[in-house]
Amino acid sequence: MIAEIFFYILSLLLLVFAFKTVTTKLVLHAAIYLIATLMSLAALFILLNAEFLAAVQLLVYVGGILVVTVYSILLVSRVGETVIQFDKRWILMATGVVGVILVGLIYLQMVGLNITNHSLVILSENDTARQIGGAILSLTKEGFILPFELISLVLLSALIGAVLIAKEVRRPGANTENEGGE
Amino acid sequence: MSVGIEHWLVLSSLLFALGVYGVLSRRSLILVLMSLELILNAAGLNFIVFSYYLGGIRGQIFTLFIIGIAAAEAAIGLAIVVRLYRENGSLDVTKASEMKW
Repeated sequence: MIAEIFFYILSLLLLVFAFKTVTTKLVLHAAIYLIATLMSLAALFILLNAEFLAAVQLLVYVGGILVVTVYSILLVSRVGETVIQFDKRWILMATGVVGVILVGLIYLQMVGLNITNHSLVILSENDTARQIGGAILSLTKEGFILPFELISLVLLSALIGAVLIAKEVRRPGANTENEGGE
Repeated sequence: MSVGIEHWLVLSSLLFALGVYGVLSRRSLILVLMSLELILNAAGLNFIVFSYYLGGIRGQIFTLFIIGIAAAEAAIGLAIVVRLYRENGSLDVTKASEMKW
Protein backbone atom coordinates (compact mmCIF):
# COMPACT_ATOMS: atom_id res chain seq x y z
CA MET A 1 0.00 0.00 0.00
CA ILE A 2 2.70 2.44 0.99
CA ALA A 3 4.91 1.02 -1.71
CA GLU A 4 2.24 1.74 -4.30
CA ILE A 5 1.99 5.38 -3.28
CA PHE A 6 5.75 5.75 -3.46
CA PHE A 7 5.81 4.03 -6.81
CA TYR A 8 3.32 6.42 -8.34
CA ILE A 9 4.91 9.52 -6.86
CA LEU A 10 8.41 8.49 -7.86
CA SER A 11 7.47 7.41 -11.36
CA LEU A 12 5.66 10.69 -11.92
CA LEU A 13 8.75 12.59 -10.76
CA LEU A 14 10.94 10.40 -12.94
CA LEU A 15 8.91 11.02 -16.07
CA VAL A 16 8.61 14.76 -15.43
CA PHE A 17 12.36 15.12 -14.90
CA ALA A 18 13.20 12.96 -17.91
CA PHE A 19 10.83 15.00 -20.06
CA LYS A 20 12.44 18.22 -18.87
CA THR A 21 15.87 16.74 -19.63
CA VAL A 22 15.06 16.12 -23.26
CA THR A 23 13.20 19.35 -23.88
CA THR A 24 15.04 22.08 -22.07
CA LYS A 25 17.12 24.54 -24.02
CA LEU A 26 19.99 25.09 -21.63
CA VAL A 27 22.58 22.37 -21.35
CA LEU A 28 23.36 22.77 -17.67
CA HIS A 29 19.66 22.65 -16.83
CA ALA A 30 19.48 19.36 -18.70
CA ALA A 31 22.36 18.00 -16.63
CA ILE A 32 20.64 18.97 -13.40
CA TYR A 33 17.37 17.46 -14.54
CA LEU A 34 19.27 14.30 -15.40
CA ILE A 35 20.73 14.23 -11.90
CA ALA A 36 17.19 14.50 -10.49
CA THR A 37 16.04 11.73 -12.86
CA LEU A 38 18.77 9.40 -11.73
CA MET A 39 18.10 10.13 -8.09
CA SER A 40 14.44 9.24 -8.44
CA LEU A 41 15.48 6.16 -10.35
CA ALA A 42 17.69 5.18 -7.42
CA ALA A 43 14.70 5.60 -5.12
CA LEU A 44 12.72 3.29 -7.41
CA PHE A 45 15.55 0.76 -7.18
CA ILE A 46 15.09 0.72 -3.42
CA LEU A 47 11.44 -0.19 -3.91
CA LEU A 48 12.58 -3.17 -5.96
CA ASN A 49 14.85 -4.65 -3.28
CA ALA A 50 17.93 -3.38 -5.07
CA GLU A 51 19.47 -1.21 -2.38
CA PHE A 52 23.02 -1.98 -3.36
CA LEU A 53 22.33 -0.95 -6.94
CA ALA A 54 20.64 2.23 -5.77
CA ALA A 55 23.81 3.14 -3.89
CA VAL A 56 26.00 2.15 -6.86
CA GLN A 57 23.86 4.25 -9.17
CA LEU A 58 24.18 7.30 -6.94
CA LEU A 59 27.91 6.88 -6.55
CA VAL A 60 28.88 5.94 -10.08
CA TYR A 61 26.23 7.50 -12.26
CA VAL A 62 25.38 10.71 -10.46
CA GLY A 63 28.63 11.21 -8.62
CA GLY A 64 30.90 10.03 -11.42
CA ILE A 65 29.44 10.29 -14.87
CA LEU A 66 27.24 13.33 -14.40
CA VAL A 67 29.90 15.27 -12.51
CA VAL A 68 32.32 14.71 -15.39
CA THR A 69 29.54 15.70 -17.80
CA VAL A 70 29.03 18.97 -15.93
CA TYR A 71 32.78 19.57 -16.06
CA SER A 72 32.84 19.14 -19.82
CA ILE A 73 29.74 21.33 -20.24
CA LEU A 74 31.55 24.11 -18.43
CA LEU A 75 34.65 23.39 -20.49
CA VAL A 76 32.92 23.88 -23.83
CA SER A 77 30.75 26.81 -22.92
CA ARG A 78 31.76 30.11 -24.39
CA VAL A 79 32.30 33.31 -22.47
CA GLY A 80 29.11 35.32 -22.28
CA GLU A 81 26.82 32.44 -23.14
CA THR A 82 24.05 31.82 -20.63
CA VAL A 83 24.81 28.49 -19.06
CA ILE A 84 22.37 28.53 -16.18
CA GLN A 85 19.54 30.79 -15.17
CA PHE A 86 19.51 31.06 -11.46
CA ASP A 87 15.95 32.38 -11.21
CA LYS A 88 14.76 28.87 -11.87
CA ARG A 89 15.64 27.75 -8.42
CA TRP A 90 13.00 25.10 -8.41
CA ILE A 91 15.26 22.76 -10.33
CA LEU A 92 17.54 22.52 -7.35
CA MET A 93 14.60 22.41 -4.98
CA ALA A 94 13.11 19.53 -6.90
CA THR A 95 16.39 17.66 -6.68
CA GLY A 96 16.30 18.28 -2.95
CA VAL A 97 12.78 16.88 -2.79
CA VAL A 98 13.87 13.70 -4.49
CA GLY A 99 16.80 13.44 -2.12
CA VAL A 100 14.47 13.76 0.83
CA ILE A 101 12.24 11.04 -0.59
CA LEU A 102 15.25 8.79 -1.08
CA VAL A 103 16.46 9.26 2.48
CA GLY A 104 12.90 8.87 3.73
CA LEU A 105 12.53 5.53 1.99
CA ILE A 106 15.74 4.25 3.48
CA TYR A 107 14.76 5.47 6.92
CA LEU A 108 11.29 3.93 6.74
CA GLN A 109 12.80 0.66 5.63
CA MET A 110 15.22 0.65 8.53
CA VAL A 111 12.52 1.56 11.04
CA GLY A 112 10.67 -1.53 9.93
CA LEU A 113 7.75 -0.18 7.97
CA ASN A 114 8.31 -2.95 5.43
CA ILE A 115 8.13 -1.10 2.19
CA THR A 116 9.90 -3.90 0.43
CA ASN A 117 9.93 -7.60 1.16
CA HIS A 118 13.02 -7.50 3.33
CA SER A 119 12.72 -6.94 7.05
CA LEU A 120 15.91 -5.21 8.09
CA VAL A 121 18.16 -5.33 5.13
CA ILE A 122 21.46 -4.58 6.74
CA LEU A 123 21.50 -7.55 9.04
CA SER A 124 19.33 -10.01 7.16
CA GLU A 125 20.69 -13.17 5.74
CA ASN A 126 19.85 -12.68 2.10
CA ASP A 127 20.47 -9.05 1.41
CA THR A 128 21.17 -8.26 -2.19
CA ALA A 129 24.70 -6.99 -1.73
CA ARG A 130 25.73 -10.38 -0.37
CA GLN A 131 23.97 -12.18 -3.19
CA ILE A 132 25.50 -9.96 -5.83
CA GLY A 133 28.96 -10.43 -4.37
CA GLY A 134 28.49 -14.16 -4.15
CA ALA A 135 27.26 -14.46 -7.72
CA ILE A 136 29.92 -12.22 -9.22
CA LEU A 137 32.80 -13.95 -7.55
CA SER A 138 31.62 -17.52 -7.94
CA LEU A 139 33.55 -19.87 -10.20
CA THR A 140 30.61 -22.06 -11.14
CA LYS A 141 28.83 -22.04 -14.45
CA GLU A 142 26.34 -19.51 -13.09
CA GLY A 143 29.05 -17.25 -11.80
CA PHE A 144 29.88 -13.90 -13.28
CA ILE A 145 33.58 -13.81 -12.68
CA LEU A 146 34.50 -13.70 -16.34
CA PRO A 147 32.38 -10.62 -17.18
CA PHE A 148 33.70 -9.05 -14.01
CA GLU A 149 37.27 -9.38 -15.19
CA LEU A 150 36.40 -8.38 -18.73
CA ILE A 151 34.68 -5.20 -17.64
CA SER A 152 37.85 -4.11 -15.92
CA LEU A 153 39.60 -4.49 -19.27
CA VAL A 154 36.82 -2.49 -20.93
CA LEU A 155 37.21 0.31 -18.40
CA LEU A 156 40.98 0.31 -18.85
CA SER A 157 40.69 0.58 -22.60
CA ALA A 158 38.07 3.33 -22.23
CA LEU A 159 40.43 5.23 -19.98
CA ILE A 160 43.31 4.96 -22.43
CA GLY A 161 41.05 5.77 -25.36
CA ALA A 162 39.60 8.85 -23.70
CA VAL A 163 43.05 10.24 -22.96
CA LEU A 164 44.16 9.47 -26.50
CA ILE A 165 41.14 11.09 -28.13
CA ALA A 166 41.21 14.24 -26.07
CA LYS A 167 44.94 14.71 -26.16
CA GLU A 168 46.19 17.86 -27.73
CA VAL A 169 48.28 17.29 -30.81
CA ARG A 170 51.58 19.08 -30.79
CA ARG A 171 52.96 19.94 -34.14
CA PRO A 172 56.74 20.19 -34.00
CA GLY A 173 57.90 23.78 -34.03
CA ALA A 174 54.42 25.25 -33.49
CA ASN A 175 53.76 27.69 -30.69
CA THR A 176 51.48 26.02 -28.19
CA GLU A 177 50.38 27.21 -24.77
CA ASN A 178 51.95 25.64 -21.78
CA GLU A 179 49.36 23.14 -20.56
CA GLY A 180 51.02 22.73 -17.20
CA GLY A 181 52.57 19.38 -16.62
CA GLU A 182 52.93 18.06 -20.12
CA MET B 1 4.57 -4.83 -3.58
CA SER B 2 1.22 -5.14 -5.23
CA VAL B 3 2.02 -3.01 -8.26
CA GLY B 4 1.97 -5.33 -11.24
CA ILE B 5 4.92 -5.86 -13.50
CA GLU B 6 3.12 -4.07 -16.33
CA HIS B 7 3.29 -0.75 -14.52
CA TRP B 8 7.05 -1.03 -14.20
CA LEU B 9 7.48 -2.07 -17.82
CA VAL B 10 5.37 0.84 -19.03
CA LEU B 11 7.51 3.16 -16.93
CA SER B 12 10.78 1.86 -18.33
CA SER B 13 9.51 1.96 -21.91
CA LEU B 14 8.34 5.56 -21.45
CA LEU B 15 11.78 6.43 -20.13
CA PHE B 16 13.32 4.66 -23.12
CA ALA B 17 11.05 6.55 -25.52
CA LEU B 18 12.00 9.88 -23.94
CA GLY B 19 15.65 8.96 -24.31
CA VAL B 20 15.24 8.07 -27.97
CA TYR B 21 13.40 11.33 -28.60
CA GLY B 22 16.25 13.18 -26.95
CA VAL B 23 18.91 11.43 -29.01
CA LEU B 24 17.12 12.13 -32.27
CA SER B 25 16.08 15.72 -31.65
CA ARG B 26 19.02 17.32 -29.91
CA ARG B 27 21.61 19.35 -31.69
CA SER B 28 24.40 19.53 -29.18
CA LEU B 29 26.49 16.43 -28.67
CA ILE B 30 26.42 16.65 -24.88
CA LEU B 31 22.61 16.64 -24.90
CA VAL B 32 22.69 13.56 -27.14
CA LEU B 33 24.97 11.85 -24.65
CA MET B 34 22.68 12.70 -21.77
CA SER B 35 19.66 11.26 -23.57
CA LEU B 36 21.73 8.16 -24.23
CA GLU B 37 22.21 7.82 -20.49
CA LEU B 38 18.41 7.86 -20.14
CA ILE B 39 18.17 4.95 -22.57
CA LEU B 40 20.76 2.95 -20.66
CA ASN B 41 19.03 3.60 -17.37
CA ALA B 42 15.71 2.48 -18.81
CA ALA B 43 17.29 -0.83 -19.79
CA GLY B 44 18.86 -1.17 -16.36
CA LEU B 45 15.51 -0.52 -14.67
CA ASN B 46 14.00 -3.21 -16.85
CA PHE B 47 16.56 -5.75 -15.70
CA ILE B 48 15.97 -4.99 -12.05
CA VAL B 49 12.20 -5.25 -12.52
CA PHE B 50 12.57 -8.70 -13.99
CA SER B 51 14.90 -9.69 -11.21
CA TYR B 52 12.27 -8.63 -8.68
CA TYR B 53 9.28 -10.28 -10.31
CA LEU B 54 10.85 -13.47 -11.61
CA GLY B 55 13.32 -14.15 -8.83
CA GLY B 56 17.08 -14.51 -8.91
CA ILE B 57 19.87 -12.00 -8.63
CA ARG B 58 21.00 -12.05 -12.25
CA GLY B 59 18.96 -8.99 -13.26
CA GLN B 60 20.71 -6.86 -10.70
CA ILE B 61 24.10 -8.11 -11.83
CA PHE B 62 23.21 -7.20 -15.41
CA THR B 63 22.30 -3.71 -14.28
CA LEU B 64 25.60 -3.45 -12.43
CA PHE B 65 27.43 -4.25 -15.63
CA ILE B 66 25.27 -1.81 -17.57
CA ILE B 67 26.28 0.94 -15.16
CA GLY B 68 29.92 0.01 -15.64
CA ILE B 69 29.67 0.02 -19.43
CA ALA B 70 27.81 3.33 -19.30
CA ALA B 71 30.70 4.81 -17.35
CA ALA B 72 33.19 3.70 -20.00
CA GLU B 73 30.98 4.98 -22.80
CA ALA B 74 30.46 8.33 -21.11
CA ALA B 75 34.21 8.76 -20.73
CA ILE B 76 34.81 8.15 -24.43
CA GLY B 77 31.82 10.28 -25.41
CA LEU B 78 33.01 13.25 -23.40
CA ALA B 79 36.52 12.89 -24.82
CA ILE B 80 34.93 13.05 -28.28
CA VAL B 81 32.97 16.14 -27.18
CA VAL B 82 36.16 17.88 -26.11
CA ARG B 83 37.88 16.93 -29.36
CA LEU B 84 34.93 17.97 -31.51
CA TYR B 85 34.75 21.33 -29.80
CA ARG B 86 38.43 21.85 -30.33
CA GLU B 87 38.28 20.97 -34.03
CA ASN B 88 35.01 22.60 -35.02
CA GLY B 89 34.46 25.37 -32.51
CA SER B 90 30.93 24.20 -31.76
CA LEU B 91 29.18 21.00 -30.77
CA ASP B 92 26.54 21.07 -33.47
CA VAL B 93 26.05 17.53 -34.72
CA THR B 94 24.59 18.74 -37.99
CA LYS B 95 27.82 20.53 -38.75
CA ALA B 96 30.16 17.70 -37.83
CA SER B 97 30.29 16.03 -41.21
CA GLU B 98 33.96 15.56 -41.93
CA MET B 99 35.54 12.28 -41.05
CA LYS B 100 39.24 12.79 -40.99
CA TRP B 101 41.86 11.70 -38.57
